[in-house]
Amino acid sequence: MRNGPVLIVDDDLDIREALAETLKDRGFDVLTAANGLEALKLIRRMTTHPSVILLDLMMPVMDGYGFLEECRKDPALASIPLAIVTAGHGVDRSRLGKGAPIVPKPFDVSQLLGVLHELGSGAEGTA
Amino acid sequence: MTRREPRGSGHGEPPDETRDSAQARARAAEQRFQLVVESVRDYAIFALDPSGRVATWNTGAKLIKGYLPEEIIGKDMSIFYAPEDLARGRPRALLDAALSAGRVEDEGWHVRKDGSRFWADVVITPIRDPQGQLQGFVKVTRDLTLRKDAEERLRQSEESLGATLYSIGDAVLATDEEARVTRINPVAERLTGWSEREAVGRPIDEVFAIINEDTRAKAPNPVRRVLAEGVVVGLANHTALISRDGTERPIADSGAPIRDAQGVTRGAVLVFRDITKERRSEEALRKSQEAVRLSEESLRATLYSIGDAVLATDEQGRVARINPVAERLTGWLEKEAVGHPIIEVFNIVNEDTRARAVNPVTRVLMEGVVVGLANHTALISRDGTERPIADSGAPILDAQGKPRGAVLVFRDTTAERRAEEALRQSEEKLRQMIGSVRDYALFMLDPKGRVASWNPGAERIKGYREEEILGEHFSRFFPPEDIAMGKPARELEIAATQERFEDENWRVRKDGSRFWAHVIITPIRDSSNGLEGFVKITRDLTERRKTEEERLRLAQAKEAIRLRDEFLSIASHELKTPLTALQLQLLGIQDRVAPIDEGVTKRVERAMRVGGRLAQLIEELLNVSRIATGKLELNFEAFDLSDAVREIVERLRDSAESAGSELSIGVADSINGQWDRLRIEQILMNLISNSIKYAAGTPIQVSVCREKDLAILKVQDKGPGIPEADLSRIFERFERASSARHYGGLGLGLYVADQIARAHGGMIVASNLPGGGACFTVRLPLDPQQPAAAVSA
Repeated sequence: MRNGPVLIVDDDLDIREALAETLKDRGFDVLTAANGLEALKLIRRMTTHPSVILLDLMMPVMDGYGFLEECRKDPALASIPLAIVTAGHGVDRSRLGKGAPIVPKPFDVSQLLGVLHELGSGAEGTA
Repeated sequence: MTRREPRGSGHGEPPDETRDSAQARARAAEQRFQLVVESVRDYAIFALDPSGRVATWNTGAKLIKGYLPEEIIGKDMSIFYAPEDLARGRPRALLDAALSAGRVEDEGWHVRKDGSRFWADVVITPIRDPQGQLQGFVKVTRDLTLRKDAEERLRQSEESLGATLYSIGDAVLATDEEARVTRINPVAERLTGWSEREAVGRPIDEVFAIINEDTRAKAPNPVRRVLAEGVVVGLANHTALISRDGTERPIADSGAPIRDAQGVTRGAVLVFRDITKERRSEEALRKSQEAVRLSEESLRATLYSIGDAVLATDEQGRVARINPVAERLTGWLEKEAVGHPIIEVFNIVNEDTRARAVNPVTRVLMEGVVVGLANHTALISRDGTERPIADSGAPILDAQGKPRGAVLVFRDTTAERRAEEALRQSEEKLRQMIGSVRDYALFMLDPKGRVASWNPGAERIKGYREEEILGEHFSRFFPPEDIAMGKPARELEIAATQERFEDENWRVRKDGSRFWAHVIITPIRDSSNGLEGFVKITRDLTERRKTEEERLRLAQAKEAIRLRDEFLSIASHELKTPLTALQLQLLGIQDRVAPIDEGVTKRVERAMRVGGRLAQLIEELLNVSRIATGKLELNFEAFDLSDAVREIVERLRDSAESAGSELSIGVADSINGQWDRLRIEQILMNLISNSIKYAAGTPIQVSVCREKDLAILKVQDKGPGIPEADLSRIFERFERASSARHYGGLGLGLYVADQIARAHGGMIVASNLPGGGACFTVRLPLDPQQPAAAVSA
């Protein structure tokens, strides 16, 4: 299990807050970013990379697809596990990387936790 | 063709007067048709395709160029041009000019099928569709050879006039309308002292200088009076001509106007002689003058009719002269004929009665008037040959106005007759053609806009019969508001000034109903370009317009539905995000209050259930919009349908039990196929949920089996069944058999299930079981991606 924080990238403040609090309640360390560019800047300043990124697709400034492209260019970022969290409107699967699971909104917490577990992120408080 | 009451019908015959005037009107209408026909025969009117190949062919084209339609259609227009024009690339240049200028007019030699040439006047106009796309050309060709011929004939006649002048014993001098000398014969040359070469072009007063012998003053020139007054003028007595070398001679003369076919004076002829030797004899002079005048008169009569047969007699009706054409037609040579009575040489009979016809010369001599020949007259030549002829006779009058003889001018009309007959037959054909047109109202208007002819198409479209509409003004076909705006008159004005009017608009039938009409009005002109009336062609496009409107409405409705589905899709997605946040927040609250407050925990749980239902409804909406907007994508994978059935039944067992229904399962072996697993599960969920909803409290059985290449899936219950009337529409959007509102949901479950089955090439059938209860049968091809895989009803 890696111990880096979970990075939530979503332009919707309600989602960022609700998701962050839910995960914090379950012992995860959480960081948030409002779009792809903000997320990139944040990751590059971090000494320990996130253990998992939860990425929305439709965002202003830099959307999820743009963020994925940037990650692919940087080997250090390309290795970070990632899940797409989306309302699923017009998802272009061809532009998503292989293997990234999609968590459709609305979702229940057990589904999300299952995905996080699969991607190898562990909460600090859980064994 | 007009529909008429049969004669002697129960309504009785109309009074004679009415019938006669109706017939007269019908006759007038037919004459007008003939006018159109003539213009069609006189012109080769045909279409070319954009590359210049002949596309259509009319009677005029056939007559002028000699080709039958089947010989010429598809051929390039260059076939009509002479080699020298082809070498210069003229055909293509004309098409290019027509394209750039919108029309081109040309005059030149064209080649007929038999290789002969004719002088053609050609107009080429491009045809374009409403988008401006070139569809081809209309080419209108007129044969002007006859005009050329007429010019040639005139030239020959002038030559022969010249020959006559030069051989005459008197001096003859001719001028143009400005009194300049145009001709002067050798006798006149001698008397005036001017050679023709020197005299031509000089004013008459210079060449023909005369004085009064008594006063020695310059005498007024008779040519001036002839030209000014257009009359025959005799010279005053005691006139002397001063020749160029000063020699003075007493002369006698007379002047006469030269008139063209329209009677306009084009010049003057002066005939004069030296009367030095005769002057003491007044009688001799008078006779001489008379002889000159007579000779000139007869000469002129002869000259005017060159090309036709001419026969002149003395006052007793004996042949005095006969020209070569007349020799040929009568079979008499001039030297044989002269002195014979006219009735011998010019032997005519009435073609119908075979009786000897009254000889026009007899009447001319008796009455001193111009006489035209009766119709249907035939000339019997000396060898018995009979020819239809047309002629006229005119008297040769002396100074006292007494006939001194007669001139008879006649011609062989055999060819004309034949042409007339051919024309009549072709007219008849065209009349029948127009009479059989039922899709178009094709009729004529007089210049004031009154209906002058009518066809069955017009009767069918507008509802009027010929006898009730002839003579009525065409404004009655217009709606009142158009009449108030003066539209009828404006349409005719445009047609008259722009040679064509075209419009699509509402028109009114006899019964007052309106129809959508396409109208073309073109003016008809006579040979001198005067307006004879209009041809109006009307088509009833009401049905087409209705169809177009219907199509437009349908397209608009489809677009509205598409927009709504698009909106539905976007709105549903937008709803999902806040719903997710709400559910997460509720979960957070639940986690925190669960150990502390049981009451609050229960209420949060309810709130979460409501949220869950909201999520389901949104998903249902999304499914519908995906289907409606064609975005239902299937992700095929291989799986065992029996497995899927077992899984779903297990998933729904709890909710079935809480509704009082026992879920049983009838699954044989594994049934492997290629489907979209999530979508197939959705079908199962929707059908089972439907039974749980409508057949609560009764057992529900789900079974699956295989039949050849099909998987058959059944969901049966023991509930109230489906009303017969609803069986056919139960799979439609927002339909449900029960109108009760208490069932909840959007009524889209069966619709979605059906659409998914169809997307897999399958189908769902709803039926009622004999012992009560409903049965839904789903048939799915095992491999829907096989081209032939589809379940037919």
